[in-house]
Amino acid sequence: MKILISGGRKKTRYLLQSLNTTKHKVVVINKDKDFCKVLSREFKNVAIIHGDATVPDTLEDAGVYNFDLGITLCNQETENLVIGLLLKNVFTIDRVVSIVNTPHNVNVFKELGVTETINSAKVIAGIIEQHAFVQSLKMFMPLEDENLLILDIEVTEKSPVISRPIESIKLPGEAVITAILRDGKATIAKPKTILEHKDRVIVTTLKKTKNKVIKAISGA
Amino acid sequence: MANGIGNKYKNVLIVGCGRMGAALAYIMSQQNKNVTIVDMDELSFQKLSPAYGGNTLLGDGTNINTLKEADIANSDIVVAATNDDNINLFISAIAREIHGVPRVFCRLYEQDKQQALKNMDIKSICPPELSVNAFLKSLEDQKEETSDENTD
Repeated sequence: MKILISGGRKKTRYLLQSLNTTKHKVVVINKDKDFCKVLSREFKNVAIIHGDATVPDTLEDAGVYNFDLGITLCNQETENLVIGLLLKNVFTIDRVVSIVNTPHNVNVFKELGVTETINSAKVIAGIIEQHAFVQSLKMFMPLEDENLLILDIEVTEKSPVISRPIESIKLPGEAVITAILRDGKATIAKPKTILEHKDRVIVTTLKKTKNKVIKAISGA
Repeated sequence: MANGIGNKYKNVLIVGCGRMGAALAYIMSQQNKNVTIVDMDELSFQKLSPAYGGNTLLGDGTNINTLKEADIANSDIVVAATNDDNINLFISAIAREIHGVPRVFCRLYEQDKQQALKNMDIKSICPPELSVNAFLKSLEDQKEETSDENTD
């Protein structure tokens, strides 16, 4: 895959560390010259370009036409949007992921066609919720405007669903049990599967029924 | 073309009260338009002529809520005239694509950046380009004058 990463410091560095840079062709554009030097020493397989990615010439020099993925990690929302628009409209990159620091700008990016946004405030809020708010909720993943959620809920001793087959469990709203994690092994949920204590149930639900679903499975 | 913008465009929103924004705001308010000018720096409004008859709004033009407060959705003309190209691109894209403002102008120091607005009906105004054209034009005019003299 051909990937462009523009802006950002720590995020860029950690992203490069976790990406397989021999398998993917990765190009980094950053405005900070010294940071570029550090990166180029650390990552031999990555093309590091010192420049401003909001300037079309820089992107042109970097040769990012038709890349598979563009990632923008600038602190300034305006820069992320301009890079996103250029990548999409001029360099024909279909998938652009942008970090958005101000929650109400998420829709701006979407409506202007920058396909995916990472809303840092919402992500952190989600993590706090999953750790502190409900103990039996192990994971919380919002999809598509947060209307659809994937939840990972633990079956506790007082769960109303314990020792019952999935087909007999009536969840509120349009929630569906999709998978079970038992002893670290994942299986797709079948109607006859009987839920046990400490099972983790993966549920897909609409946002409005989230709390009811958690209650129905964990009992808390 | 002296007036440039017809009477059907009544509500004007200008973001950025620099020399250009302030001068434009004043002229348009003299043309009996409802002008609102936005800037983050209160002192910048001192650049406005004392005879300016429009509104001023203190706020960040890249903040959706500020733009809503400035009634961007009912604006007929939006001019993005801050000193930052990326901010101007951001504001003009929001005005045109999200709020459907009929006439949107974006001031850009770097002309190339207008590529970001590809497929959007936004007019970019580039001061260096305008200056170059003005120089060339006056050179041309001078040449004509001298050649006129020569033929006489």
